[in-house]
Formats: sequence, structure tokens, C-alpha cells
Amino acid sequence: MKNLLDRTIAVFASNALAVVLLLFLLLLTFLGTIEQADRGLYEVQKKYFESIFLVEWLFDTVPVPLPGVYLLLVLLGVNLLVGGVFKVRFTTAKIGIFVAHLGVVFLLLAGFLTYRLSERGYLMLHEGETAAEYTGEYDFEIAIRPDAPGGEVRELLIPEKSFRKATEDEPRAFVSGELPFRVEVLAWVRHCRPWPVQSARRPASGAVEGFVLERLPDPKEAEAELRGAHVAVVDPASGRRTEALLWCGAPELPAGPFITEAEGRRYSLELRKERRSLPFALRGEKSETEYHPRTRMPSAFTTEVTKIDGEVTQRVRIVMNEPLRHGDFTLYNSQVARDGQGDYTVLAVVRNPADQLPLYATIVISLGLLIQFVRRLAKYIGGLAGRKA
Amino acid sequence: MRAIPTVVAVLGLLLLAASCGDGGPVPISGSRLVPGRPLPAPAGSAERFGFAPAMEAAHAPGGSGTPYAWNLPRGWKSLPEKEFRQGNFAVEGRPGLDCFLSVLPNLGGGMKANADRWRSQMGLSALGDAEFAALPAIPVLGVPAPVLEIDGTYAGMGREEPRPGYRLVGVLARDGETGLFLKLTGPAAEVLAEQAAFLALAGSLRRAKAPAVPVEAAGSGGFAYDMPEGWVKGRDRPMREVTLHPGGDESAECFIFVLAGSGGGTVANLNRWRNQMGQGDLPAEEIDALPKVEVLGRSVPVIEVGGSYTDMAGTSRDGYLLLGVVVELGSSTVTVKFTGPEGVVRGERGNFLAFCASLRPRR
Repeated sequence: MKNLLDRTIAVFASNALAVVLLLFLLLLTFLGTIEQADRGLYEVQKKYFESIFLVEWLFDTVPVPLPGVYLLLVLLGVNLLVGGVFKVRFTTAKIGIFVAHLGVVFLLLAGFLTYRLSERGYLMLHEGETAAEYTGEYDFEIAIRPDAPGGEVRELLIPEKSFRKATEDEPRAFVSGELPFRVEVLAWVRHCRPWPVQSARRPASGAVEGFVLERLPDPKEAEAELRGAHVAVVDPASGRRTEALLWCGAPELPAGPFITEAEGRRYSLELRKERRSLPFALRGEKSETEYHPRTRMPSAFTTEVTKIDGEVTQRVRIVMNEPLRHGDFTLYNSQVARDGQGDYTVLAVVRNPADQLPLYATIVISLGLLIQFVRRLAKYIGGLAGRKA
Repeated sequence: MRAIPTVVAVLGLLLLAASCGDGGPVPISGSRLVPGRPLPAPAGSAERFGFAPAMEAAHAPGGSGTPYAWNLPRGWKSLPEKEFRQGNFAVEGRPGLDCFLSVLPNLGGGMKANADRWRSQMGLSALGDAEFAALPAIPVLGVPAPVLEIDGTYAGMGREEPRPGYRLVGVLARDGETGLFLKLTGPAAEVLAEQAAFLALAGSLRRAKAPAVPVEAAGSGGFAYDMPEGWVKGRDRPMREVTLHPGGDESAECFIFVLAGSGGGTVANLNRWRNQMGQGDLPAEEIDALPKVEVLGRSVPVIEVGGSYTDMAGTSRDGYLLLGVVVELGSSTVTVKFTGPEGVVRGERGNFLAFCASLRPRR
């Protein structure tokens, strides 16, 4: 048994394993980069970098199973950790190497935490407009809100991941004590548009009021996907069902929410990209774009906003490499444009509780390498002095 | 080796646990506080998805004798006609858009040939027959009309500078051997913004004849009515004044039935219809609260019930919708009932209400 444990440790701590893992990482990075030309970044990240295993088709005919980068990085972390603990004999002479190993493991851990905990989105802000929420990049939700002429209301949110597998045979039902009805999702469609049922070529949902959700070919970029869902609002008392198609709409083709009435009150159901609250509000003040000489190619964006955090207001200038930081949130300039309402800026929003961890990990690695370097230098200088003496 | 059965059992249990969801309703756990705002009035799918933008004006045939009429979407206006432009349109605030209707005999040389001509204006090659057949379509003049959507560089007739970033949307409709070609071009974002209105305009195309023709009912009750456009009279049935089918589709039928005296009354008749749709009775006060229409000089409730329809013969049909009115005239009661697949009946709702409103005693 001890022999088996020793051999397992030897395998996981081996340099050979590290080399194999690094070669696989190199191969997957290459394949992912090539595939990104045909598929979007999001899809490629999912396939190569956020997977345990994947299948690559050689010449479109031979399936080749490969480990995903997620698995490779976990194994690399184990390799470094086990190697650092069992292979590097802890002596004061090797403390630098040990610290550097620890730093790399810490860096991998930071990457893992960023992957698991970070959120990305965008915030569109016209000059003079105030916003305290941002829109997620990829994931959608069904938002249900009651009619309320003022004050605050609670908006109920059903995340897309909870009804992706819904079908008419196996609908997903959702209830809340705040709703006098049950919501059933009968179909979820990744990329579609509502279309008259008589002329739909690729219907992907049941028909409602003469319309179906017609499946569209997947776009290259996941951000461009137009989600649809077929839902039913069910009165639990009478069993009365009202079906509706929900569609997220596009900036140029907005879709109205589905409005239903229950117990004398109106409720809206809307399928949209996830919206998340910011712990502060931003008011757009001014947006500017600088261009490369004699071109319309932007060289820099500048956005001035007022950050409103409770009673505290602060004027902030967001420029390249100088984002707005607030707690876990970082807001970067992404785009400045103009529409019918005037100039607006698009800010990329990143929420990453592990934001500073890579910096700390890099400091630890640098410290380890510095210790090792100084020790080796001191030893070398000491040796030179000894030979002279 | 002895551990293998244990490992298999544990894996089996894990798989079983993973697959054993109870399938029941899931409590909604996500929420957030947002500023309250009044919600808009309920709207149908066509309106929510931009297929039925508010129409401002119905076009009547002009001096040129264009034999077709249409409804203009809000914000659109008609321009003077030109050669090959029997309809010529502009959109307020979008000067980059060009939209026109060409009405050509002999299908203008062929539907596919016109689709290929538009594709060539966007620098694309001709479609294969299968590709042309697979184009999405919308109903125009009761026939599926292929819709072409192309993004790219628009070269037009070749006399202008190529314009990159353009979008062309075209509808290839036909009325017998007459081709109706409706085309919208312009900067892609502007075309996308007006595409739903454009398709609604295409969907509103119709022959420019008198929209409703007074017809004498054949039965003994002696009612006249205006036949909605596209509806056809069905075969005579016992007890019925008349049976009509929208678009000739016999799965949907609208008929007039005349009962002696009160015929049991409005509430009983409307609840009988609800029962035929598998729904329970409504109390009189709720029936009284239903939306009203004017029929034969009386304001009467319109009932709208969806569900599984069981007809008098006991045959059940799922996904049906029933619209109906009951008019008590004293010595007799007139019922008008419209049933059919939900999509069809909902699409013809306006025609049904217009039909009810047009009912009048035969002179």
C-alpha cells in the first residue's frame, strides 16, 4: 500500500507529468486560437478552456479525445503542490524555489477563483442618464414584475440555466409566494426569432397566437444570440393556462414583454440578458473619442461620470488603463457612440472578488525567485572570495 | 478486486440520486428590488414582436390604377409613384431608406429570377432551387411570399457608387400571374429598425376592391351581413343561418344560429360554450364585465375561451379558441359562434367582430 502511495506521489510530482501537461496546454491553446477564427470566443473558451474533456475531429472524420484546459490546470496545480511538498526537500537552501512554487499554485488558484466567481457585463450610459445596474454578457433570465406606479417592487428572476432543458413533455415549473400563478417553461431556444406559424421553416416551439419561435443558425459570437422561450402562466386554482412566447429582442428589434393579469393585478414576464445591480449609481457626464490622425479609427475613449454612493458623489474620469474601481467592481471604457438620444458610452463591467490575487501571487513568485537568486549570487560571490583568499 | 462491486454500487447510487429530481415546481429564489413603474396594457404576439405596428392609413387605389391597396405603418409616408414603382415609400427620420413596390405581369420574369436580381445587387450569386425554396416566407394575399434578407454592399442598378454596410429586405409576393415585389434597402441598422414595419406593410397588401360585400344570408332568419375579405361561405347546414370559413379553411368556422325566445338566455349560452371548451361556468356578473360589441343594435358581451373544444358530435380538438356573441332580440335569440385553431381564430378576431357588427335585418 505504501509502495502504491509512493508511486502515485512520484507520478504526480514528476517533471515528466509537468512537461506532458505543458505540451497539452500548448496544443490546446494552438487549437483554440485556430478555431476562434471560425467560432466565437465564448464557444471556444467553453470547448477548450473550461472543459474537463473534449473531442477534436481530425480531418472531420477521426475523433480524438483530449483533456480540457480546466483538467490540465488542476493537474498542473496538483503537480506543483505535490512536487513542492514531496520532491523539493525543504532546506533553507531551497526556500526560494519552494516560495516560487507556492506562488505559482497561488496563481492557479487565483485563476480558478476568477473563473468561478467573476462576472462580466456592460453598462450603456447616455449623457445625463443615471444607472445602477449592468447587463450580463451571455446569460439570460426571465424577469417577472408586478404593476406598480411608483416606489419599489420586488422583481422575481428565473435564471436561464434552470430551464435550458425544458420541453413540452418535461416543462420546468416555477412558483413563488409572491405570485398568484405558476410559470411553466415549455421550450427554450438558443437563437431564434418569432415568425408567423404558416411560413416558419424551422419551428422550435409550439404556436401561440399564430406565431412560433423559428430557430436561426447559431451566430459566430455568442453575444449575438437571440433567446426565446415558450411559457405558460397557470392559475393553480382553476388550472387555466395562458401561453406566450418570450423573445429577448435585439437593439433594433425590441420585443414587448408579455403582460398577464391575475387577482386584479398586472404582471409582466420578460426574457432578457441577466441584469445585475451595482452597489452604486453612475451618472453619465461626458464622452469623448480621440481618433488616429486622418482616420475614423478610435485611439482613445474618455468618459466622465459621477459616482453616487449613498450621500457621497464623486466625479470620475475613466480613460484607458485608468478604469473606475469600486470594491470588487472594475469599469472600463469599451465604446463611445451616438444614437437617437445622443452620445452614449458603453462601459465594460467586471466583478471579480479575486481581482488582486494574481498580483499577490506574482509578488510571492518574484519574492521566491529573488530569494533564490540572492542566495545563489551570495554563494557565487562567496566562492570567488574563497578562491582569491 | 473485492472493492469493484462496492465502487459500482456507490456509482450507481450516485447516478440514481442525480436522476431523481421530483420534477415539481421550483421555488423562484432570485429577486431584486427595482423602481416601480406602471406596466403597459396586454398586447398580442403580433404587436409585441413588431408584426402589427400601428397602421396610420389605408391606401386606396390611385389615379394610376394600381390594383392593390396597403396599410402604411406609423411614421411611413407615400411618395409619388414612378415607373416600376406602383408604391413608393419614405420613412420619417430615415432618409437613407428606399422602399418601393413593383407590380409586374407574368411574375416579372419569375419569382426566383427577381430574387437572384436582388442578390446580384448585393454582390451575391444566384440561389439554387432548393435554397430559394427554403427561404422564409410570410403570408401575403393568402399565399406564402418568400422573404429575402441580405447584408453586404449594395450596388443597386450598377449606376451608383457601391454602398457597404447596407441591408436589403425583399418580399416576393404573387397574385395569380402578377408579381408583387416589395423591396427595402438602406444602412443595415436603419433597415433592421424598420424591418418589422416593412413586413407588416407587405402583409397588409390586398386587392383594392371594395373591402366588404353585402351578402344576403340564405337562412330563414333573414339577416344580411358584410362578408369579411378572404372568408368564404361553407355548405348549408341544418339549423344554421349560414356557415363561413376564413380563407376557406374548414377547420375554422363561424356560424349564425337563431333560437326561439330567449333560448335559455345569454349567460346559459355563453357558459354552454365555455363547457364545450372544457371550462367551468362564469357567474353572471363576470359575464356582464366582458368586453362588449354592438350587434343588431344591442351592446352584447364577447366571450373568448381557449382550450380543448368538444363539438356537438363529441369530437375533441386541442388548442382551439372560441369567440362568440349572443343577442337576445325578444322573440328570438341570435348566436354567432366562431371556433377553430387558436392561431387562426385569433388572427381573424378583427374580421369576426366586424362581421358581427355588420349583421342587420334583411330588408
